[in-house]
Formats: sequence, structure tokens, C-alpha cells
Amino acid sequence: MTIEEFYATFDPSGNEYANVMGRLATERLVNKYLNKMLDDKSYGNLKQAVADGDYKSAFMASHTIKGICMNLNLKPLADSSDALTEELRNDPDAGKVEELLKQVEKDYEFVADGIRNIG
Amino acid sequence: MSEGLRKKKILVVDDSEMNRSILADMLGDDYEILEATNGVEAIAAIKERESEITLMLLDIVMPQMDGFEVLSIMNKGGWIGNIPVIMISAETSSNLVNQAYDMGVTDYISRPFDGKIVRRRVNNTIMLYTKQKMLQGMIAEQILEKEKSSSLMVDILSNIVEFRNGESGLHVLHVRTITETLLKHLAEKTDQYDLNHTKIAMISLASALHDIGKISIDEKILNKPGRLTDEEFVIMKTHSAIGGDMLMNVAHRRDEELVKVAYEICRWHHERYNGRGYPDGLKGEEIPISAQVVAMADVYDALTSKRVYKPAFSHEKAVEMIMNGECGVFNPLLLECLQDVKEYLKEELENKTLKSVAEDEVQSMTEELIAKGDTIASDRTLRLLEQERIKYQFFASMSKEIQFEYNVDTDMVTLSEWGAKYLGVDELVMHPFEDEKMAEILNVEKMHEIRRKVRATNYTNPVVGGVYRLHVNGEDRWHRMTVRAMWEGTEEKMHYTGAIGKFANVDEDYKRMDSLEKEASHDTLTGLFNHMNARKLIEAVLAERRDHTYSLILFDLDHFKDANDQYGHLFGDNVLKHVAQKLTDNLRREDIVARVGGDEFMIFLEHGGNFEAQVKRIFQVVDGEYENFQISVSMGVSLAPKDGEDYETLFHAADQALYVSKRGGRNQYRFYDNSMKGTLSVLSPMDGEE
Repeated sequence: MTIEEFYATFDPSGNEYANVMGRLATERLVNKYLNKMLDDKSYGNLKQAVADGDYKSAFMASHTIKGICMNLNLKPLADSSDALTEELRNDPDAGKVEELLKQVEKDYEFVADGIRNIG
Repeated sequence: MSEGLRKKKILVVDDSEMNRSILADMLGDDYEILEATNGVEAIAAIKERESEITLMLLDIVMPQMDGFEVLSIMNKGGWIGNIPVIMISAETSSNLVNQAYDMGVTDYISRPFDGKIVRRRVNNTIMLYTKQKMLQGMIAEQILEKEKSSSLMVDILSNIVEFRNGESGLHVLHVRTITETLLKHLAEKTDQYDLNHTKIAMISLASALHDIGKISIDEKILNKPGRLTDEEFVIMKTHSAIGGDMLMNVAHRRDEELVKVAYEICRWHHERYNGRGYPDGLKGEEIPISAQVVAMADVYDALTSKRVYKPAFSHEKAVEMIMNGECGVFNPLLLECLQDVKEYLKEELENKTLKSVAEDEVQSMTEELIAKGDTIASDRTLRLLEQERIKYQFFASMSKEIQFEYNVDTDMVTLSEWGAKYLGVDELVMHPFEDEKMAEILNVEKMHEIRRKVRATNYTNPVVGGVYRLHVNGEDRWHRMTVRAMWEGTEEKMHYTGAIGKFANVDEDYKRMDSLEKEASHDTLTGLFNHMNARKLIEAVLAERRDHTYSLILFDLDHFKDANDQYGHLFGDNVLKHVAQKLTDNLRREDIVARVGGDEFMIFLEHGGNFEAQVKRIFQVVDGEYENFQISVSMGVSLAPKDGEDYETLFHAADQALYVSKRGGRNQYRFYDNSMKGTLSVLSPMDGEE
């Protein structure tokens, strides 16, 4: 799968791909950061923090994921982590956090699978 | 950019490694990227390399210390004015963005980053600030120069101020204003005298000193109502040469430009252009321009002021008299200047108050800056600062001292590199009084004690000291602390801004002192002699070789270890003191009583033959109770000269007798006899344990 095909898996319009290439200029850099994202510990930290009920750390981790996804135009994960971040920011509701985290997990696994298939 | 070494540095502060990496990729071609992963590291980097950092990219949401806290510290520390900050964040709430702008950020870049936009904003911001910094550098340079001059002035003036006569305050001010006005105009008229702004400022400043020689003139002559006699006038005239001499004697500053200029003015402000002045009769351009101008200013102000022997002439009359040569001949060019500026001068002098002088300086400096606009000054200033930093770091690393700086506004301690390493903490510690690591090194009580001491100082006496035990690398070490409080403002209105200081390791000195104390004559706990001193005394007695007989008694307390174990060392100490007291009470002044080890005592006394009764009495004296602790002793005795004639032998014999009495079930005394030869000893080194 090419990088362009990867982006098409969640955005058939090609807008996200065009945007990320516009900003980061080369496929080499986009590829570098996509792979870096897999190494980033925020996702693991997020799950652990939620499990521990440590919403402050969860907020940090979720916020980082959101920032990364915005930079890489990973739209679905950017959206779901944004929703989770906002829930965690003030007075989070445990039930809602669980629910939003499920969506983040789903989107993350989807994106991660996709990235591993780029080559 | 090919000059890799000279790339400008950008500090990227973001907790996400990925974001830092993206920004580094976007900017790395043109800039050198420094990275910080949170606010604390960012502040450390700023403190360390303020002058090198051209721009800071700052994330808002970060662990430990977030972007707003960083901004707040940068505001308090005054760094926000020197380092432009661009906020970067995924936050889009206008509230937060506005808050960031309010706290001094220059620009705001939201995620996702666009390479072109990031580069453009960074470039624009840096250009804007470079210009601003350049101007600041120039101003700083000028202010430095001014401060140096002014403080020198104060040095000189403070020495003579008590001699000044009451009227001269305004005179000095007027002469200065006239001098400055004339010089500025002269500089417009001709290049002949090479008068730039700095030189004009310096001559004007130095003009204040033109009459300092008058402090040596008899007050009767100085303040005489009426004209001076010829003799008096001769004396009066010496003031210019004397003033010059005074400046020459400012020995260590003789080479300073200001001193040179002031010398010219003092010595030659009564010279005249035709050579008819004093003290040297210089002629024409032999007279430095500084002295020429001050001479005219001096004359003008004398004419327009009321003196005991004359009324004040009007401005017009004074100018007329000078133009007509009634007060001596002046440089024609200067006379022209006086004509040109006379109206301005009249107005200027009427409005002149002390306060406006300072404002004038700022005004003229600003004008000069606008006209000049080159960057030499700013580069030099920065270079000098950088040099100072390197010097400081070098000396700090050599000194093997913990040097520190505390800022009360940011509540932050900065440690020297060496100091931080030595203590095993970061160079930058936020909220040190609440910091756990700090509390491990120096207990909180002591920290607060130091804080109280420092805050109790004042402007004139800001240094405090003390010796403190720091816990370093798992052991306690004594350190001598010296701290200087930083007070800002004037004596009337002081403001505490923090403190600087150092801790120097004096542990060895203390340990040496401790051992010296041991070598000193008395045991500190019991007040008895110590072993070393007792030995010396005994040896001295034995050396006299009189035909007397002596007993050397050694004893230790039975089961003393139990007292310590059961009731603690303090109790044990009290038992020892109790025993010591009993011995002192029951022995003669000339007997030698010593504590020679933990619970071991030694007594050396002359016995008149009946040694057994004597020993028995002592044995019974110490026997008893101390707060329910049963005291009994095991004792060993040797006799001189029977068992030996020197200390070593006697001690060893008593020691062996002691061993035997312990082996015999304690709570007894034994005299040495030959059967004990070769037994183990209690106190001698050959014995491994009790």
C-alpha cells in the first residue's frame, strides 16, 4: 500500500493526503512521522491512565495523540481523540471516558494497521 | 545556510517528541534547534543560554510546567522582552489564545503545522526582534558607559562634597548646561575638535568638577564679602592647578577618559585664548577645547549670578561683556557659538531644574540612536556578556563550591553546574522550600532559618553566613554557607529580589577540629583528663624518679553495654558522668583521673604504702546505683615501682590485671602479679574484643 492509498482508506476524497503533503512537503517525511507515531508511547499511556483512573495523565496523553494526528491528517483518530481530550479536560464522567476511549482504540488500531501495511 | 556555526538558535518546547521532530525538520535547514520537553527544561535553557536563543516555540499543554507557567516566569524574570515566543498548540479556544497574547507571545501557530507558514512566521518574528535587540544593545552600551562615568563622579564628588560651598549646586548645573549647549553647536559648525556624542557627554559631565580645587582654598578667602586683595587673589588662583593635581591622584583611574577630560578642565578653565590666563599661560588651541568651553560657561554663569561683591547681570549684559572681551579673550569660533545659541541658552537656563537633567540625557541619547543605527554596539555588548558567562562558568567549575542563586519572584534556585552535580540535583529547582530532594539535602527547618536570616538583612549589610550539615551522596558533610541578599532600590525603599551565595565544603576542617578536640586535655563528656593527656602527666611524674610509690588503676563498668542498649546513649552518657563525678569527689586534687575509652577509666595516685585500702575505697565509691542501673566495676591495678617504672609497663600490667578480674566474674579488683604475664589484655591493641 502506498501512502496515498493509506490515506484513501479513511478519506476517499484525497483531501487529507493532499493537505499533509502540502504541509510536510515530501512522502519521505510523512512516512517518517507515521512510523514515529507507532513508536509514540502516548497511546499506551492513555490506556493505562484511564485504567488507573488518572484522568490528568490521560488528558495529557490524549492531547498528545490529538496533536500528532492533526499534524498527520489522520482525521478519524484526530476527531475521536479530540472528543476524549475534551471530556477529560474538565470533570470527566467515567462512563463517557470509557465510551470515548473505545472509539479511540478502534481508530488507533485501524490507523496502526494501515501504517504497518505501507510499503 | 553554509555557516553552520553561526546558525541562529531556536528553542522548541514541546512534550511530544514527534512535534519537536516535525518542527526541527521544518526549520533545521536555517536554524539550530534546541529542544526542551517541558517547562522546567525550557526555563533552564533560557537561564543558561538567554543571549543565544533567538526564538522560542512553545507548546501550551505539557506535564510538569505548562506553557502559561513558562510565560509567567519569563515575564517575572524579564526574559519575555528578549526572547520572542511563538505559541504552538492544538488548542484553538480563543480564550487561551488571548491569554497567551496577553502574556507576551508574539505569534501563534496552531496545529497542524504547515512547513511554509512555520518558516515564514519564524523568520518574520526573528527579523522584528533582531532590530529591536540591536537597539537595546546600543542603549545598554550607552547606559553602561554612563553608569561607569557617573559612579566615578560620585567617587570624586563624595570626597569633596562636604567642602562645597552652598551656592555651587546650581552653578555646577548651569555650567554643565552651557557647556553642553555650546559643544553641540560647535560640533555642528566644525569637525575640527572631533566632537561626537560620547565626547560631548563626557565633557559636560566632567565640567561639574571644574572648581574642585577650591576645597583647598581657605574659607575666609573663598567666601569673603568684597573684592580679594592681590595676595588673596594669588591664593585663589591656585585652585585650578590644585584641582588638576587632585585628579592626577585618582591613581588607579588616571587612564580613564573621564579623568583625563576632567583634568584638562580643572587645570585650564582659567586659561585665555591670548595666553593671558593661568596657571600655565596656554595660548590658542594649546588649550583643550573642553577647558575653553567650560571657561566660557564659567564666566557666563559668574556674570549672571549674584555674588557677595556684585549684583547679577542680565543675560544680555553678560553676553555683551563676554563678546567685548571684558572677561578675557575667547576663541572666536566659540564667541560665534555663544551668539548663535544665546536666546536658546537664556530660555534653557531659566527652565533648568535638577530633575530635567536626567530626562535630557534620555532624550539626547534617543536622538543619537535614531541617527546612528549601526550594530557594532549591540554585537559587542552581547559578546561581552557571553564572555562574562564563560568566565563565570569557568570559575564556578574550578571553585568546587556549591554556588546558587535564588529568585524570589519565580521562587526558583539555580545551582552552578558543579554544585548541581555534587548534590545530585538539577541545576534548576522550582519551589526549593517545598522540594523533597532539597529537604533531603538540608532539612526544611534549616532552609527556613537561612531564609529568615537573609530576609532580616538590609541594603548596607546584606551578607549572612553559617555552618550547615548537608546530606550529600548518603553522608553528612559540613559546609560553610555565605549568602548575600539582593536588595533593589534605595535605602529608604528596599525591595528584596532574592539571594546569591555558596556552600563550601568544610567537612575536613570540622573533622580535624574534632580530632584536635580529642587531643585537647580533657574529655568533653566527663571533664576528666583524656587518655593522651593523662599519659603525658603520668610520664612526667614517673620521670621525676622520686622514691614514691604509685598505683595505676584501670577499671571499666560491668554491663555498661546494657545501659546503652536498654536506656539509650544519653542515659549511658549520664552514667559515665555520674561515675566521673564520684571519682572527682573522692580523690585528691593531685591524683590523675582520666577516661581512657568508652567506659574505661584510669586513675594514677600516690599511695603511702597502704595501697590495698586505697584501691578498695575507690572500688566501693563507684559501686552503687544510678537511676535503677546497678553500677559495678571490674578493676585491675599495677604498682610502681614494683610492677614497672615506666608508663607502658604499668599500663600493660594493670590492663592484664583487669582482664583477669573480668574473667573472674567481674565486680572485683585484682592486683597485677607475675602469674598474669602473657594473659590477654582488655585495652591493649592485641586484644580483638572485650
